[in-house]
Amino acid sequence: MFANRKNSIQFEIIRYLLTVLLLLFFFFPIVYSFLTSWKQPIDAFSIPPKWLFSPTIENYIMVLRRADFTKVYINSLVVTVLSTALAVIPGVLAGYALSRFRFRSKEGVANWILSTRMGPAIGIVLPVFIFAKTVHLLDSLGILIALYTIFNLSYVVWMMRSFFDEIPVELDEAAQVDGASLLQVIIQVVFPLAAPGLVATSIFCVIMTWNEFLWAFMLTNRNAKTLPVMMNGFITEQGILWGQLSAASVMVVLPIFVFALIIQKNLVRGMTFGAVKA
Amino acid sequence: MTAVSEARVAGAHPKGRRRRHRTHYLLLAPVIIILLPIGVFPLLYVLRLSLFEANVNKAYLGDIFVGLNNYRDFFLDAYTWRTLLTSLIFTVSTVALELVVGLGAALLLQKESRFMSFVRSLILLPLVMTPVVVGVLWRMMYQSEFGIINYFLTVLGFEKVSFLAEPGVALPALIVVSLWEYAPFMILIMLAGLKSLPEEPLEAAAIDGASDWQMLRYIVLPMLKPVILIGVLIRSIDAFKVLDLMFVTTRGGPGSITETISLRIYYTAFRFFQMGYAATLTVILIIVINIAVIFLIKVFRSSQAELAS
Repeated sequence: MFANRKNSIQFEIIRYLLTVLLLLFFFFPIVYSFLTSWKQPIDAFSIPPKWLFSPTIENYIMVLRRADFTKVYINSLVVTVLSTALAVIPGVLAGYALSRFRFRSKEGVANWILSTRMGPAIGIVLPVFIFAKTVHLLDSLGILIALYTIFNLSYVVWMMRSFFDEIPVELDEAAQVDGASLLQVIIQVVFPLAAPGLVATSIFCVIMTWNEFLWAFMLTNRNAKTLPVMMNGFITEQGILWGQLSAASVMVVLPIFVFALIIQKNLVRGMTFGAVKA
Repeated sequence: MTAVSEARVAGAHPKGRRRRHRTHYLLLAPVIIILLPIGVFPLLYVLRLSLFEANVNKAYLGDIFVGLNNYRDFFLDAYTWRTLLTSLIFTVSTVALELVVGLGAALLLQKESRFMSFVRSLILLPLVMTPVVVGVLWRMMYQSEFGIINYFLTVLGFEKVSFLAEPGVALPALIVVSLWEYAPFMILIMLAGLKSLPEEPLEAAAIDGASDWQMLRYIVLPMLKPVILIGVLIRSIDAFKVLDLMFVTTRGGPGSITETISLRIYYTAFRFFQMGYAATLTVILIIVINIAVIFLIKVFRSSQAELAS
């Protein structure tokens, strides 16, 4: 690759300087927020900003003491885990069908499945809001779980299809020749090989569901609020309590960061519906 | 890939084929049944609603059928056209910037070393960060009195700027946030593309004495085209729909300078309660987005074909 050619020292210096600049732009805001979460209110506003300060855990305690924080956190956990789990099973089966079988309407079906998630969120929320209102499901975890399951489903199908495509079909056929049923083939032969892909796909669903704002904002009020909705309310309410705002931010994004680093290898693939592989 | 498709053809003997014919429907059925309510029903509902006047704020007398009046209103509605333009400006500038930063950064970071792979891990974090939290974070940094960015500006001898409140600055400020959040996507996708490039053409070019610039321009970029196209399309579709960012930072202000089409639909429906007109705008947005999606699917398919060959 041409970038690995031997280059002059000046070139290398410029290269590292630019890299540090990139790192500053993309990583500094996160560091800044993290530092702020450990500052006393007085330090958070000091100009020039204090880089060395005596850290306090008070912000975290204040956030955790809020009556709704734990509840909202649990809401987010429940909604995320359930909607991911519910999407995975039918999604895997359909992904397998799209990967292995040939039928006339196949690409049409696959594209339709993809198009259900590409539409504008605001377009779906209007009818869903009216529907939820009529059947008295507004502000319930149920409506969120249902909506996110459907949303995750199309994603699981596309991702798993791309992972299944990488497993040689000869394996299926050999097992079938040996007398295995289709279900046995899927569960015992293909599934173990696709397991890493399934883990990555599920983690992606978790990240997207955890982060979703608009639908949760529209469909919930008090009981079924999720973390992004709470954070949105938090700004107007506590506009100047940067320490607490940052502490809450850290607690919201930390699990996501861990997950993202776990599936780092599959991140590109996950974000392009399986089209680009790293 | 070719081995797989050959095996498929070989395995398609009459008996096996018939048996398989039913199973794939069985496997697909659950997904199709679950997706129908969201893939078809909302669309039909919105289409129908777009033909009605359904202003649920006044003395609401039920939906009144108005035919295509809402669509006529849309064509004359300069305010909405401006929000479409805002979305377009936002999309074009953020995606263009992401593309430049993405390609540049990928070229910088592609080298295999421990430091570079560490940098690659850190840089992807904004991409997965909860968008509302991204908004919170940048609101804090953009703050006019105590914000860290204004501090750096004063250190460098500039005036303080109210980033999110000044008409000329608000939209560019949001474009920077979007760049921060999504350029990592372009970086990662370009890195993947660079990694999958075959070595031979580059080696041959190097032997022929091509400069780095020539290699980039005539070999690397053309070969990256499918990857770049996928990245640009996915990001354009997302950027055009953007709502979270404005919702958390500016709410469309100052005035309506950062009001995107999604935000406009939201306000039409849930502030002015004009459900029918909101549905009409939704239909328009869906049409615009679908044009991009059709392109995207075409690119998906051709890039798959390229990978298979």
